[in-house]
Amino acid sequence: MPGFHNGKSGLVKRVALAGTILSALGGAVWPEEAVNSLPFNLYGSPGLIDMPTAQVPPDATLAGTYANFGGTSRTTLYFQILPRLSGSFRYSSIPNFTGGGTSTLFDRSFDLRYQLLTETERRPSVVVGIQDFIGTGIYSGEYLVASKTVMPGLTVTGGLGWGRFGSYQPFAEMGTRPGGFTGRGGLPEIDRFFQGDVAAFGGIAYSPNDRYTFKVEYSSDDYVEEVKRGTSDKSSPWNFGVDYRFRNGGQLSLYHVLGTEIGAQFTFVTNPKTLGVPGGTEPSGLPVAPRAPGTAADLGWTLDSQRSASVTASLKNLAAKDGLEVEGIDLQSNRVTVRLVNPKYGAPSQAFGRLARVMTRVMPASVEVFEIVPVVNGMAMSAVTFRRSDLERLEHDAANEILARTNFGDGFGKAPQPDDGIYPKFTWAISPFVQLSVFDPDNPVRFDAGLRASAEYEIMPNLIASGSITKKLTGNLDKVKRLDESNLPRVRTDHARYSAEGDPAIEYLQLAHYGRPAKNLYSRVTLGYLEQMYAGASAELLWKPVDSRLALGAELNYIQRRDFDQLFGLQSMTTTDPVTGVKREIPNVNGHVSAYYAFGNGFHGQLDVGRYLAGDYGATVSLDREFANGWRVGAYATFTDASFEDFGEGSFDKGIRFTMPLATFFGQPSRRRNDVVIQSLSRDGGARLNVNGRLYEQVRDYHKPDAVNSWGRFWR
Amino acid sequence: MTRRSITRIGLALTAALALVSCGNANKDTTALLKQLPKAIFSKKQAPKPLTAQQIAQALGSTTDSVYLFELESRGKVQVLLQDIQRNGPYQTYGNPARQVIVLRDGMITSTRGLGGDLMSSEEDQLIAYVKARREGRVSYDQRFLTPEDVTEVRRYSCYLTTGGNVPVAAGLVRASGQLVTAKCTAADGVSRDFTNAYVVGSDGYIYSGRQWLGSYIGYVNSQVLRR
Repeated sequence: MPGFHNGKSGLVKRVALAGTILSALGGAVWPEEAVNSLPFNLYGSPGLIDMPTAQVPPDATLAGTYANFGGTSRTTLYFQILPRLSGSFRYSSIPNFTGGGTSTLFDRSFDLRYQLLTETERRPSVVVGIQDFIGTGIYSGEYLVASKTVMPGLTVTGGLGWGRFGSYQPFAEMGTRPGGFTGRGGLPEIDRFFQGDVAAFGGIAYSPNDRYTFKVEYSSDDYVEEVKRGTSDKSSPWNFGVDYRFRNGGQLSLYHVLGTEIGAQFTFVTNPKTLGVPGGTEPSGLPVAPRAPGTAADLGWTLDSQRSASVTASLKNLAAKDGLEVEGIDLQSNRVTVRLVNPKYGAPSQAFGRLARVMTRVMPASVEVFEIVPVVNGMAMSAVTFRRSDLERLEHDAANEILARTNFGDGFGKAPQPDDGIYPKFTWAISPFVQLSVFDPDNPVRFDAGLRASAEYEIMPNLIASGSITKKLTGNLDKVKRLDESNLPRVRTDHARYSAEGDPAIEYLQLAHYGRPAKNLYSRVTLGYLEQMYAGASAELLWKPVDSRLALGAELNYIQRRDFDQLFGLQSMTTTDPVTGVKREIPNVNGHVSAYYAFGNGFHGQLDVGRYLAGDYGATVSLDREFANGWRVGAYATFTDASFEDFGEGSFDKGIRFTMPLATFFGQPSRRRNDVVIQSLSRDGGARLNVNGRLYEQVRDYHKPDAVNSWGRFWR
Repeated sequence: MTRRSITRIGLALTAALALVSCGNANKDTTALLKQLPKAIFSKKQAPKPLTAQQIAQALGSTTDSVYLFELESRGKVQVLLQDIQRNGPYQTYGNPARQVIVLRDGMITSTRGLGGDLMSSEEDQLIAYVKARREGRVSYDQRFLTPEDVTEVRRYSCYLTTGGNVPVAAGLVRASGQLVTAKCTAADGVSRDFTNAYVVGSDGYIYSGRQWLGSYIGYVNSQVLRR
């Protein structure tokens, strides 16, 4: 049946704090930026009511829309990828659509829009859009639309539509529009684009003030399938609506559509570039204490061990007040090297800047060179060197002045030994968790909530035992009734069973060793219960010079399947399909080689090539838009030698992902962040081991390309 | 403040979950979350102007220079800051809450801990004219961080005019100074224009002033109570 998604739930993974998405979308706006008064339509795109407009919100705008009319609901996430290019992900439910008009269709769709012409005094803005272009295509349609603000508050829109947008009173035909879909869905249906009937649509939006917008449109969407199946009645192409806009940019709309139905929608609008208090609200760092002229020549003090000990103690004490841990120092008469652990500042430059200022206050006057070695899991990440006289001279200057005089070196072999009494170190936490599964074909939202206890024992700085246990308190993730057939070893499709039987569950329990085998090289070896479904051993090596945008890595894993109850037991690697009864073997060995590249214009790419869990060989391509404050919005796709047929619904693995740093919500520095992955379908092809502590994310922070992005925080 | 109330609603759920966590890991985040109930539930009190008694007390507790600042757009809240560090011509004034305003001969060149801070300025030309009580056109830059943590430079062209003499009597300061006004126009044509005013002593020291510190902080009035 066209448009019917018959697959697994896309799991929203690692949602540590529920509500963060909502708070992100409802967040505050940097007051200087005009509140965006651009209306969004029922599809969550810039538009009138059901039809699109050619209006384009500011770069990096994120808008979340929930819309409902006549029982049909659409939840859309819209992102302005580039100033002219945007993408949307939508989850919709249409009641009484399938099963002969008895059951609800849950459908996912993706759109792209590109602005061909920007609006000027004389010409309108022109946008080309392709809606629901991947997959089974219930909302499939293309349009070319122009909008012009003819006087303040009054915008006129007119356009041509194909597919859905060409279904009412078409005036022309361009070729034949094929039906059906390629493979098992989930592929762009390029041969369908701009084919078939063409119809015209248009409308007017009038905003008498910045609170209200009144809209009327002539729709070229005839709702053919919905009317045929009795889901909707349609008696008119004219739709009417009114928007109310909140001070934070949110939009509440009421509609009269299709001549028969009443609808409403709510849209949150935010932007990672403008969200939160600029620069944060945290207290100031200490000021630089310049040396009195002539005192730098004061030599010979290092002979005095008492003075040296008191310098170390004051440094640790003052750094701790700024939330930084000085684990060891190496004092020379004119040079000092500090081993730094930064649990607090998301921007490494702020950690460097605060520590360097503290150092100007406690170091003897003869010490001219400050070398800071940030350490993560025992690995020296870089060696960042400042001249004290530069810090004294440039304290009240632009941050890029001190950057030009800062030297980034490899930290290999540079970190002083940690002082006695710091290791071994034990940390623990008990906290609530919410695990969400959304966009399930049977149920839009499933969740588990409970308590998670986690602990970490750092035997040595780079030898760490850690684990976490969860206990469910409530939830319905285990109520998934669907049995999925798979033509591959069931490496992920049994996840409902893991959910149902794992209570309490050991999420992971591992021993990890991190190292610096040589200059530019970083290593990890992890043993134990690595993730929900697999135990074993994982080894990784990463090459990344400190000032390089490029990194190369390799990972090799030897795994054994864990019991469904996720306690200490292991089970056979032979899986049995619950539908066909076919037995298949999960291979023990998988692994990848990876290339990572920061393009330097806010985009970051990653390519992983190797053998996936089910033994399929292939590659994953990822592209993220990264913001200096730590926000990321990206997408990935995995293509392997598992055929589209074997992969099943969706044809190949793909998804979109978000990283939301907590600091932007609190206005206080923090290294905590929420990672959310919306996977289109969780299937067995192209699946990777979810091992903890992969190297690249740990290493890149303290290297020059990443540190420079937010260098403005050095003097913050 | 609207910003505050929006954040409150958005964070309520997150906070409710996070507050019940315990353990010795992630101390900074726990501390950060613990301050939320106050932020969410406390009612905003209208700031009261400092009393003569409070000012006398502040002056009595130190022999260092003391300044009074008033943030106009934040309900005229007043803060007393004391000189904590000098670096060349720059004097850093701060309080125990680590809010900081840096002055150069009485002209504000940067702030910290106020939110939307002025990170630094390029004020050489402006201060030279102000100190000399000279009329003419100068360039002036202010640097801010955006919420994305990118440095944003706002460039202004300022036209200075001088006015009459005004007496200065505040705290321990009894002096008189000449009024200097700087009318600044944004070079980008988009940022807001502003007019700064300074009361400048015969030695070029700025006894008091009204200065624009960007759209987030707005205008700040400064008054020296002890040089």
